[in-house]
Amino acid sequence: MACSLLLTILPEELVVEILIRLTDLADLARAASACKPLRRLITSRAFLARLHALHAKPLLGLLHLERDRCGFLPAATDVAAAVARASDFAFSFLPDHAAGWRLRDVRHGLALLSSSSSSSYLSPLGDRGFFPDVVVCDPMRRRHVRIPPIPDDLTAGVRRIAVEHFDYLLAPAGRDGSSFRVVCRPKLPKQCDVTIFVFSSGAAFWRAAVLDACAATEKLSLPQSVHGYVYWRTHSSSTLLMLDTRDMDFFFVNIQTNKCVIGEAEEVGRLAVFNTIVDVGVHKVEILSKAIRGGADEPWRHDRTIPLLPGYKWRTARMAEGYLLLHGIVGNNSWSTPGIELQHFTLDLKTLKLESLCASISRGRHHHPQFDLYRSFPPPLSLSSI
Amino acid sequence: MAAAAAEATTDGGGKMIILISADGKRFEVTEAVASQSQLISNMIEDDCTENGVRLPNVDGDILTMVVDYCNMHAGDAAAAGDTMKASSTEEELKKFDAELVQALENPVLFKLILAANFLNIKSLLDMTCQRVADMMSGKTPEQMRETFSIENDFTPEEEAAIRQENAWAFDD
Repeated sequence: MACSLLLTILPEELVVEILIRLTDLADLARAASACKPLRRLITSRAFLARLHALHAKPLLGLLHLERDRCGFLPAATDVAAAVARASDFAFSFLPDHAAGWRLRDVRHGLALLSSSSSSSYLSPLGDRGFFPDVVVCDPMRRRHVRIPPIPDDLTAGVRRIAVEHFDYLLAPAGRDGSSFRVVCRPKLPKQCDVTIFVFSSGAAFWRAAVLDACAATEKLSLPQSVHGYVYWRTHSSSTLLMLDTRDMDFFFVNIQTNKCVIGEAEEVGRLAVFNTIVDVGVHKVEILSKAIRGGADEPWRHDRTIPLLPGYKWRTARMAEGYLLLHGIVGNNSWSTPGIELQHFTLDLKTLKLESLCASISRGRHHHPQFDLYRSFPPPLSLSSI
Repeated sequence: MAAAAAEATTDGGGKMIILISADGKRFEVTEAVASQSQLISNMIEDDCTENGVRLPNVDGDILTMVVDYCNMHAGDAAAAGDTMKASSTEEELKKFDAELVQALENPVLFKLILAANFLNIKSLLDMTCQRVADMMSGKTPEQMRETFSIENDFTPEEEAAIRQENAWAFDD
C-alpha cells in the first residue's frame, strides 16, 4: 500500500529525484523515518550509491584509546556533534565479557574489539578460548557481530605455543565498503614461523598464511592496511612485510626509513611515505610513493611537498580513510607537558587541504593515547556490513 | 527525412505548432518554445507535429503552466520570433519560477513534476523537484507526514528503534 500522496501520484524514480536533491544528510535521515516506502527507497543500495557519489563521506572525528578507555572527539561540524550525542563509543551495548573488551582498530565507521586476554576462561559467547573473542561493532547503530572463532585445523600449528598477545586489524574489502576483513596475528616467539589469519566478512570464513621465520620477521609491529594489502613494520628499518589479503601471499617492500608514517597513497595500488621536514624554518610534509607490487628496484616517486601552518610543532600520526592525521602544538611547548592542548589536523590526500579537525588535552609523558580517524555516513545512510 | 529535419531546425523559431491537452485544450506555441521539451523536439525532428501534438496524460491547467514556463524560458530563441519579447534576465526567470510553484497545492505540484518528466523538460523537472525537496528540508518526520499527507505505517516499536538508530538527525 502506498502510504502517501507523494508516492501515490509520483512513481518511485521521481520520488528519488526529489530525495537526491536534499542536501542536508539529516533531512534524508528524517525523511527515512516518515514511512516505510520512503525508508525503503532511501536505504536501497541504488539510492545510497548515488548519494555517496554526490557527497563526500563525512569525517566525523577521532576515536582515541588510552589504556582501556575509549572516547570520541567530534569534528567541528553539526553532523559530527549530533553523532557524538547519539552514538555509543563506550560500546556499552556489547555483552559483558569476563576479560573486558579492548578497542583494536577502526575503519569505515566500524570498530574491532577483542577480549583483553587469551587466558582460558569460559567466555559469555560460549567457548573456551585460546584466541581472544572478537567482535566488530557499529557504535552509531549500537550493533555488533561476533567474528567466528578460527577453525582448529588452521590454528593447529600455533596452539602448542603459549601466545599471550595478538595484533588485530580491520581492513576494508570491496569497493563500496560493504564488507571487511579481520586480520589477526598471534605474536609468536621469534624463531617461529609467521602465521597470519584473515577473516572475510563476505565469504564468512578464515584463511591462514604462513611464512618461514627469518631475520626480517623477528619483530613485527604496527600493522596497517593499504589498498587490499596489509604491512607490518619489521625489525629492520628498511623493510616492510607485506601480505596480499586476497591471494594470501607474502613479500617484502623496501623503505628508506621507518621513522615516518607509511600508508595508502591516493592512487590505488601505491604505497606512500610521509616525511616531516623543516625547510628554511617552515615545516612541511613530503609525500613519496611507489607501486606496492613494483619489485625491489622500483624507485620512490616524489609526489608532493605540502607546507604546514607556521607557529606549530608538528607530528604526523597515521594515514587512514584518505587523510593523513597530524598533531600540532603551539609555539615552544613540549609534547610531554601535561595540560597542553594537542590540535589534530587532517591533510586530505585528494585535495591536499590541511584542516583543523578537533583538539584534546595532553595528559603528559606517560600517556600515549592512540588516535584513529572516524569517517562514515551516519545511519541509515551507510551501507551496513553488520 | 534529412531535408525535413534541416527545414525544422533552420527556420525553427517562427513556425507554430499546436499542443492538445488531455481535456482537449489547444495551445499554439512556436517550435522554439516547444523544443524545450525533448519529447516534442524529437517529434519536430521526426516531422510528425503537422496535426497538433496530443498529450493524453497532461491536463489543460497543467499544460497552461508548462507553456507559460516554456514561453518565459525560451530565452535565445526569442530573437528569431518577432511576437516574442526580449529574453528575460536570470533574475526575472528565478522570480517567475518561484512564483509559478510557490502557491501550488501538492497534487498540482506533483502533476507538474509528472508533466515535466513526460515532456522531458529538464530545467522544469529540476526546479519542481527542488521545490518539493525544499519543502521537506528542515522538517521533522511528523511535519513531513503532515505536509505530504504521509501515513505513518511504522509500529510504535519500529519507530522507537529507528528513532534511536537515527538519533543524530533529531534535535532531542
